[in-house]
Amino acid sequence: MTAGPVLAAGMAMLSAGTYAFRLSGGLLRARVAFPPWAQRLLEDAAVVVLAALAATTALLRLADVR
Amino acid sequence: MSSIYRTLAGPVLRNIAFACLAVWLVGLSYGAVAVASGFPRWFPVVQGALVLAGASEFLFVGIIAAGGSPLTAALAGLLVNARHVPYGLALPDVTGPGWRRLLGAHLMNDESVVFALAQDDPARGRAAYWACGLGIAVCWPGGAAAGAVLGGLVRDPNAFGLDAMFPAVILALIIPALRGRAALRAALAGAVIALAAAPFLPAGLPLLLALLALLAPLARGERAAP
Repeated sequence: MTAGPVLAAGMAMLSAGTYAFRLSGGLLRARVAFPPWAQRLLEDAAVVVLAALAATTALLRLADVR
Repeated sequence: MSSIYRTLAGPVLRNIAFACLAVWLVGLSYGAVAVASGFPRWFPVVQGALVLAGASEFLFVGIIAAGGSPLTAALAGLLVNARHVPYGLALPDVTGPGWRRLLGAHLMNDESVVFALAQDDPARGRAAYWACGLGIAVCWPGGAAAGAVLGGLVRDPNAFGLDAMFPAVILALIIPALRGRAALRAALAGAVIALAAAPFLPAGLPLLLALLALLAPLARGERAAP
C-alpha cells in the first residue's frame, strides 16, 4: 500500500480539483454557453472509464490464481 | 431547515430520503472495500467527506489497490468528475451568493442536480438541492465510516466476496447512464480496450486508454452536431 502522505496528496488533488469543477460551472454560467454535445462527451467519458475499471477488476482478478 | 420541509412536497422528500439511503448503502460497500484493499480506516471517511463524489472515489481506491500511483488515480478521478462543470452551467442559481455559494458548490452531485432540475419552480428547486445535497454529504461519509468499521472486523475480506462486490458496485453506478445505445457501445469498447491493454501497462493507464472508445463514433462519421 502507498505511504500515507503520498495517499493524502493524491486525495487532496482529487478533492481540490473536484471542488474547482463544482464551483466553476456556476461562476461561468453567465459568460459561456456549454454545448450539449460537450456535456454528453464528458458524461460518456466518465461512463467509459468506470466500465473499464469494472471490467479490468472483475476479469483480471478471475484470471489471478490465488 | 424548516423552510425546506415547508417548501417541498411529501413525495419529493421521500424520494430524496430514498436516494440518501441508497447512497448510504453504496458508502457502506465503499468503506468496506477500501479497508479490505489495505487502506487505513480514516481514508474512505475523510475522502468521502472531502471529495463527496462516489464513483471517482471508487476509481481512486481501485487504481491504487491494483498498484497504480496516486497521481494516476487522482487524474482518473478528476476525469470522471469533470461532469460537474456542465452541471453547474445547467443549474439555475440554487445556492445564492457568498458562503452559501461556497458550501453549496460542494453539495453538487448527480442526485442533488437531478432533484433540483426536476422541481417546477425555483424555490422548490433550491430546497430540493439543499435537502438532497446535505443528506448525501452526511450519508456518504457516514456509510463509508460504517463500512470501514465492518471491513476492519473481517479477517479475510475476500472470503466474503468483498473483492467481487467492487466491480458489481461500479456497474450499478453506471447502469443508469447506459440508457443510450451509443453510451453502451462506448462503455463496452472501453472495457475491451482496457482489458487488452491491462497486461502491458501499469495499473490505471488502461482506464485512460479506454477513452479511445469515445473516438469510435467519429470514425464512423456520426459526428455530434456542434
